[in-house]
Amino acid sequence: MQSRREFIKMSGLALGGVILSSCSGSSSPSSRPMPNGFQFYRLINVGDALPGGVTIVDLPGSAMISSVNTVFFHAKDSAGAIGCYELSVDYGGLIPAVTGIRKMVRDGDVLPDGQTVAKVSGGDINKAGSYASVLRLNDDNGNGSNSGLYLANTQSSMQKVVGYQDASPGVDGFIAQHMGDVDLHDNNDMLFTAHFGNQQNGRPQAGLFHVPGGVVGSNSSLIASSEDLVPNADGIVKSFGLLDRNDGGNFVTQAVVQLNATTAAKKSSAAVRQPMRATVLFAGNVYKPRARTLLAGSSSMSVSKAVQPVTGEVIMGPRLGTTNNAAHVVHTSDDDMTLYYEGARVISSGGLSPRGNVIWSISPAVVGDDGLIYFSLFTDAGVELCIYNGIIMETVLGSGDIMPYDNYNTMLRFIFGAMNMQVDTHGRIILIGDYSNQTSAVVVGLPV
Amino acid sequence: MATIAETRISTSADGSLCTGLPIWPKLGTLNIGAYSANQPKNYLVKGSPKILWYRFTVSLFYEFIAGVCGPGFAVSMNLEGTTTGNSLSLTVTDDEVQAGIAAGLQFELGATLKIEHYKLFSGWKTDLDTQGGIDFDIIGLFISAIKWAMSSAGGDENTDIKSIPNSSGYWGMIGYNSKNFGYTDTAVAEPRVHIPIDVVPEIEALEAINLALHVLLGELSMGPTIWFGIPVYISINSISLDDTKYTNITASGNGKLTGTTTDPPPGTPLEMQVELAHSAGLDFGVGVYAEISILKIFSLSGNYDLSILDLFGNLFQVPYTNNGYTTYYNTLKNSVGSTTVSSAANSTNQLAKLHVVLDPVAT
Repeated sequence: MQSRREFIKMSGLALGGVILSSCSGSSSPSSRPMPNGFQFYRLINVGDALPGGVTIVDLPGSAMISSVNTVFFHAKDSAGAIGCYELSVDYGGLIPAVTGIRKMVRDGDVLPDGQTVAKVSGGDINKAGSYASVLRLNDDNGNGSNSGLYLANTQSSMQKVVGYQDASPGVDGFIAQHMGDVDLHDNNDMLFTAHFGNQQNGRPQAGLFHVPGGVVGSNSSLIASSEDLVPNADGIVKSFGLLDRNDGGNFVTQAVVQLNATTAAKKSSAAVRQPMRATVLFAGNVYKPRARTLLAGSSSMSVSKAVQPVTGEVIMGPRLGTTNNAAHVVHTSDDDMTLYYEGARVISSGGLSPRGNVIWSISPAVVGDDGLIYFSLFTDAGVELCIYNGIIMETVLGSGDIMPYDNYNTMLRFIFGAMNMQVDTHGRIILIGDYSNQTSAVVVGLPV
Repeated sequence: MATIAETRISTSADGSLCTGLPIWPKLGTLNIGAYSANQPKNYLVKGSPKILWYRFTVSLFYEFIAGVCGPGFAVSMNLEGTTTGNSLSLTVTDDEVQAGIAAGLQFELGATLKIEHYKLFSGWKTDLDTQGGIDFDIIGLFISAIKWAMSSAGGDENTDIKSIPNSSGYWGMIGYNSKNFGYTDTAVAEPRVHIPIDVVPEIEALEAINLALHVLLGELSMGPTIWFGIPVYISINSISLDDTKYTNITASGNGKLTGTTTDPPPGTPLEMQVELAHSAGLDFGVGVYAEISILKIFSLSGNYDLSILDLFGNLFQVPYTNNGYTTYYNTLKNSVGSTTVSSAANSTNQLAKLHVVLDPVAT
């Protein structure tokens, strides 16, 4: 006899707005219980009003959720500017209710330090609801040439942490125009990448900086820099990409490396004249800067036998869980990719999704505090939002799912995985959804 | 006792850097052309990765040509005074020291970006297909940024970067000090700069790509990096009046030099020779970087660094010893009482200039 769950799944409908997975917490063989399912609710829509008398015309795909009942998202408004906004959400009622909206930063804003924002970028939040972002700033000629890292503590305005021409944290030098990715962790501890002029060796370099508490001081440090040796492999680091930091000072970061001449000669054809480069993912700890481990890297690298990194190009953003386990996607070709978690393969393009569709692309995964990973699979039938606990993988939302609490509109597609903080400590998830009635919204999923 | 009328001592008639002495005699002063021309182009990032439901066809490429004049140094000073017994006392006026390198850096940076998204049942649809590129004189374009970097670099406060007359796109990065000799035993000129620059917002064609990416909360950044560092230390080893050589040259601190000799004192000297001792370090290179990213979804980056001096291999190992920099000696001379310096070579150790054209990629 079919169970209620199996019946609902076969019917192709979700009951009461709950998208059920095929396993429950109690039946999971893993130590990481899976949620039974999710209820999805819109929080704000394209067309809704934003502070300042403008309305939302587009949601680019960035949404983040804190653990203090706030949600952050980016929107393009009716004046053509892009901004980041914070929603206050009350989850105590029958359905989530937005109780307030606040502009964090918007293109063209004049910041408290007098700088004018040329372009807003993604940024990061922490569980306490602070927000940090590298902003493009106007130079003296009105061009957006300069960068600055800004932090808005919970319910505060954006204040500069460090920017162009400022002293580089932890090393004698100065921050250059281009700053890269930032991770904001508990207590406003920040890890960010930036180009800087190193006074000690007279060279322009790329650096990975740690700024505890979001305030540059004597405990700030340069964790890694270009010209560092690649851990467990031959070559030197040339630049850094996306990064993620979690508890205990652990972090993972993308890096582009240059292989040494011997390896390059062995691995490249005679026609290749340029120094050979590779992309890598390595893990480290801000409190033990020299303790680094190679997690993934191009097949062109020669790797120490002491480690067994995943082979492939590291293009997509890595994510790190509280137990210091990384989730990351590697490309083995332009079209082929595989998601790894805790060093083990999870799923690959070309395979089948939990709903039996052929996968052709995978999003970066988000690691929840409970150790579950959440990611999107792009298939020949649309998108599926999946959860994986190390043993079981389930789809909890997919293209074509009917949303009973949304006037029975159909979820056409959604963007999940663009940011690190898309699952809060309560297991709520945040995403951008497109519906069959031609509407788009910031959508929160509540576990049930 | 002999009176030494004011005498001009200088490395060349105009006292300029490019007509001065080579910092490294074995190398001479250089006129180097380095270029990166490759077929196909030099790519920092190239690929068509499938990401989410997008396909990003990206190529970020560069070419550059770098020209170098130098590295050299120039010294000039006026000396006048007296000899008494075996002692020499000279007053130094109008003394200057310059050291550095003149360089032109012409970059071509380019980017192409095509964004397609996969539409169910109808396949790939192109959202954006654009390209941009620019040739530019990097030093001229970012002169203010470079000057700022130099002033903040803690180097010689008189270091400046100047346009080289009659030479389009060439700039000199020159360390300069005055009131050296007579005040200190060793004069120092240390031109130094290191700076990465993002050119995308400055270049309309590239910024157009950046604006397109901004809709996706993405960003393109690319630009050159340059670095110079040439600390040069110069001291007076000896001063000769005809056949009398004074050594133990010491600065009194008030603009006077003193020395002693064991040779017979000169009568009415006709010629003054000043032997300079100098040592130097040198670092010079150019590079380029590029990065494209969207949110925390993906990041592609690349860079290329070229230490121009590394191209010379062992030649530039010469100045370095286990104990520091090697010291070189040059002698400048002039007729006593002459306050001008002839345009003819007036140093005994100056070597012929080198003319080198390099393809750095082929090395």
